[in-house]
Amino acid sequence: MFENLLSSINFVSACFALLFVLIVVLFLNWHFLKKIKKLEIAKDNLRYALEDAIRRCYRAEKEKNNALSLLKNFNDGLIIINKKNEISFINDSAEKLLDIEKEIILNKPLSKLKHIQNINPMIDLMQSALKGIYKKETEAKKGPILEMSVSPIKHSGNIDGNLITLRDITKEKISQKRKSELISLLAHQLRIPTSTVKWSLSMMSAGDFGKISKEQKGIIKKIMQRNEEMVSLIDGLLEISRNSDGEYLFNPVPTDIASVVQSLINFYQEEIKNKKIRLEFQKPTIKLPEIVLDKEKIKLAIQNVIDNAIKYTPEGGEIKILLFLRDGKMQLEVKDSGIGIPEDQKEKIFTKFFRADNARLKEKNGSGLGLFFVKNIIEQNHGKIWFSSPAGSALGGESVQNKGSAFYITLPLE
Amino acid sequence: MAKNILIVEDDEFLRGLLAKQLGSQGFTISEAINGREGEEKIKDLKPDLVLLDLLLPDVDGFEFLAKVKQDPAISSIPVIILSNLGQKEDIDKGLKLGATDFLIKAQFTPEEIVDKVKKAFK
Repeated sequence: MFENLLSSINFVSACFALLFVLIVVLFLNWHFLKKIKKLEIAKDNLRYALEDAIRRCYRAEKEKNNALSLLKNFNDGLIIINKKNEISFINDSAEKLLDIEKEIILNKPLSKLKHIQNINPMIDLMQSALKGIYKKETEAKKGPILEMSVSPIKHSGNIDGNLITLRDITKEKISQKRKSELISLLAHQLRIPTSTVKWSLSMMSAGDFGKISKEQKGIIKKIMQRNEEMVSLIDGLLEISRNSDGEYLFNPVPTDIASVVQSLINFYQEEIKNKKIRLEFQKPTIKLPEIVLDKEKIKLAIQNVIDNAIKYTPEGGEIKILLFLRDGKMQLEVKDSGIGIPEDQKEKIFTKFFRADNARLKEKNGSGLGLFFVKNIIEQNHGKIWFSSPAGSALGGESVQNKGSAFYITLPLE
Repeated sequence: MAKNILIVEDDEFLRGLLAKQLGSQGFTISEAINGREGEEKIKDLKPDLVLLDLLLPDVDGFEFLAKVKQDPAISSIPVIILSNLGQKEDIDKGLKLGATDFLIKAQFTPEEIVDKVKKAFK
């Protein structure tokens, strides 16, 4: 009986044990199945991610190839200069325009390419640290005339190198040359009658062809004045055509504005002395930074402003020129004790062919183009120009209050 | 001794005015009506100074100037260009070829031109 009971207990125990094992097995199976499922999901996710990455890679590669193909087949010549000042890319057009094979120049420092005649004139600008886009005209040896544009390649605020664009402007230059020749010839033909009138009347007025009456002399003087207006007009028209010829070509060079102003003051020294004008040039004692801009044109603009100040300031008057730095810009001020600008004509002062009434009375000759050009040039160089008239307290002294004009020019340092 | 000035100018009227003005100031004047005649006269007369127009029949002023400056026998003779051309390229070209000065006719009276001539002799 006891044995039977024991055997029953053993059987039940065995059953429980078996059941426990079965439960454990089932649990483990369920657990592993769950894990496997998770792994499968993870595997699928991984596969999707991989496929996506491959797709993206492919797309990026395709985009890169498209971009490269675009750059390669771009009609203008393109060259990329990297941070190490090496040519890291050159497209087919640039190779052709410069008549050079890429294998010779790729990944080599620009300093070692100076012996290549078609590259040499461009090297300095190619490796310049620039903040904006600059253009320069250059001519490949026995090749086309090129317009070279250099723009910095910016990445996350840093400059990674320069992109050089080369454009064949030979045809434009030829047509520009023809236009220039035509204008030159036209100007020549227009000047013939004016010079004939000027020469003969000035000699007649001096009595070289016999004595003339006071009345005749007065009439001759008036004709000569009108003739001078025509001479100025022809000169002005020539200046317009010259300016429009070259307006898309910008020739930037590091420029010391203080020395430009000083050279202009020296140039006008005799006139200043003759008119007994007190001219003062104030600039900081420290050397001002050079600015990269079109020096020749800026010089013309500043000359025009100084020329006006001298022209419209009476004998014994005063001119003050100030040059200083303010808010990251260079500021030039030309203040005079001259005739000033009438209130009702201030708006027109920078317009083409405009001359203020009082300016016309003071100085008969003038085309009315000077300040129009000045504004154009200053703005081409990213600067600003404005004026105040009367110059007010600009010149300080009581005697010049409510008189004169002050012209202000600012030019960005970068 | 009076200085000899050769005027190479095809415009008869202007040439006459200039000759009169220079003559009245004591200069001896020779005249050439075109570039070719100018070439002959500068070699024959060896003037002290040449006033040269640019747009001339036959040999133009630039060509005339280039030849003068290449000929050692006459290259030292100062040449003042007196023309109604006057674009920057023309002025640069003339001065590069060796002209002493470049005067635009319409901007100077004969009296002022004489002053420039006198200055060239100083």
